[in-house]
Amino acid sequence: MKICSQFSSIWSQPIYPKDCSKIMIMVAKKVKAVYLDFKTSFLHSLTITLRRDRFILMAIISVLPVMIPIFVALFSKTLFRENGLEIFVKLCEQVYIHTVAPLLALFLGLIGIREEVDSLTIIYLLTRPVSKFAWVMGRFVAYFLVSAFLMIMGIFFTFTSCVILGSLHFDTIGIALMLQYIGVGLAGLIAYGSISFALGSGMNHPIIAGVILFFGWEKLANYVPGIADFWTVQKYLDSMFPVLATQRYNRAVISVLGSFQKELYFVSTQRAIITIAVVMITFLALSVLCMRYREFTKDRVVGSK
Amino acid sequence: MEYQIEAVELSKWFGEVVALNNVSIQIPSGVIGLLGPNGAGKSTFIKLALGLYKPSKGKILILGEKPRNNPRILSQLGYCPEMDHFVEEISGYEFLYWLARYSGFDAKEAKKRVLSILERFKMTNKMYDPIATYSKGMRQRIKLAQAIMHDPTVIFLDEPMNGLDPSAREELIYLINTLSSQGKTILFSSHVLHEVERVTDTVILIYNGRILAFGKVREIRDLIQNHPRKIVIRTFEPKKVYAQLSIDPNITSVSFDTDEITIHTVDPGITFKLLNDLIVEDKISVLSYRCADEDLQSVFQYLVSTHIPKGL
Repeated sequence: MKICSQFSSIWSQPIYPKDCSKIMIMVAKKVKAVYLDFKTSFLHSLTITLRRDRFILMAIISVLPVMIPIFVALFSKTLFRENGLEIFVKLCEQVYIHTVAPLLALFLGLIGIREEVDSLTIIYLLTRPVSKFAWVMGRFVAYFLVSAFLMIMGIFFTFTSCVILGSLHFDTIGIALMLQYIGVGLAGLIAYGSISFALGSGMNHPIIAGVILFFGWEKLANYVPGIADFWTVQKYLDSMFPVLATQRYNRAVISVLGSFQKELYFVSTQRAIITIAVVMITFLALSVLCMRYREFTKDRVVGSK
Repeated sequence: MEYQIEAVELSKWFGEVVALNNVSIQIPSGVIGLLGPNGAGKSTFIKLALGLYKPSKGKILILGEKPRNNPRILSQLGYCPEMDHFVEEISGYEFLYWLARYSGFDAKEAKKRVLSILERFKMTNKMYDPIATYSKGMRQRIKLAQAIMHDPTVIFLDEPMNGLDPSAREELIYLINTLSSQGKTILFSSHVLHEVERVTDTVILIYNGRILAFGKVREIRDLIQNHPRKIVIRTFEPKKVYAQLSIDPNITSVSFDTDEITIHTVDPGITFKLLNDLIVEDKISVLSYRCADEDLQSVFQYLVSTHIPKGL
């Protein structure tokens, strides 16, 4: 009896159960090979990243904002008590999501992949039977876990310092607020990280490009809301913030100004999440393609540029 | 006969510079020397064979298949690059371990292979030291170890003798001979003829991106024997030296400087004998004499000018 009849129209030869099982075995072997490559790439990247000086630097940078509420509390206790929630929100948005997330992507994502290209250790990898997709994904997951750990620690300790010293509370609302910012932070790490991977594997001077993109274009484009800012990651991250910027502290203006702003300048949280997912898929796919088709060795024949 | 490496009209250019020009060659199994001066295209050929470069024109097949992004072929290739490319902070053991994992071995098998290869290369006592602390010879050994630890069928060694001390060179020659006896194909690049001669009697001569010859070393040697030499003699009596040497019909041209005389000879053996006679028998004061163009570059230029048709 013939089965897999759907293939019969595609292939001239009919496919029998024996062929189907062969195909299944081949697919299973391929999937297993890709998984093993992914696992190796992930573990390798993780062990290397955790020993790097820049990991320590990023750990310090991620925890430094914790000191701000403490300093404010020490030097202006009254002010801090009045603005504890505001300080936490500002630190999360301005420091963690707008600054630390792209920095983590640059230091742990872009430089990590670039180091491999610049030191040419990548030639050992390219001459081995490794799936480029699995290699990129393994590295990306390792980058994401390490930077997510730093970001979560930073936001958590900042929140704790605000709770201990300020007007923020360890209640359902407070924890939900913290978790929401952590979620937006992780989305930022995914978006900035995938762009960093594509830059690192596709460009000759990715660090300069990354700095210009994350700290030049992203900031400038936000001065032209509604037009250029749609081409920034920040726009979509801002749209996922727990409360809209202008109505955050004044519930009276939420219904009027908030909905007007939402129509003009903001995108919905769902659309923002989809955009971040599209950014991630697009740039990681670009990174895989670059790894597959680019020529990474640097030594050229005498006389070449 | 089944060829291990086959290039068909293979060309590679970088911008306006042609690194490899219309190379067609079929390489059987065994140890093959890839001989050519610096910048001849040896490394480019090897990198094309490894799939690190995409051919600009033509194709290259390894074991009958294109190597670029082909895991089936890549799993059968070993490569020792010319330059040192390491993450300096990690140890030799760790470097090899991860490469073994990338070759498809599980943790246990990777560990076993790494320990075995490190023992073979006498690196066990330094295996946990950072690579940054390794000497040039140790780095070379680590590079060689990673090239063969996964038991490849075809091995590419790009200038593997560079930086090795004499005893390490002997060990490498022994290693190549051992691998050859195990049926491996080894393509060994070098710009030093006598290095290649010690490992194999079959060489490919490459120059300016073209294959000049593919054959036995003996035949190449015969060609080189006929290479006219430029000899520079330092003496306080250049006119006397010239007067004596002018009787040698092998000398094709002479030029003077204040204390130096430069001659071109088609038979260096006879000219050197004549020079010895001048010093020993005629007591002419000769400070030094040297062959100014014995390097491979000039030999290749000679071969190109005399044995390659014009326009090639």
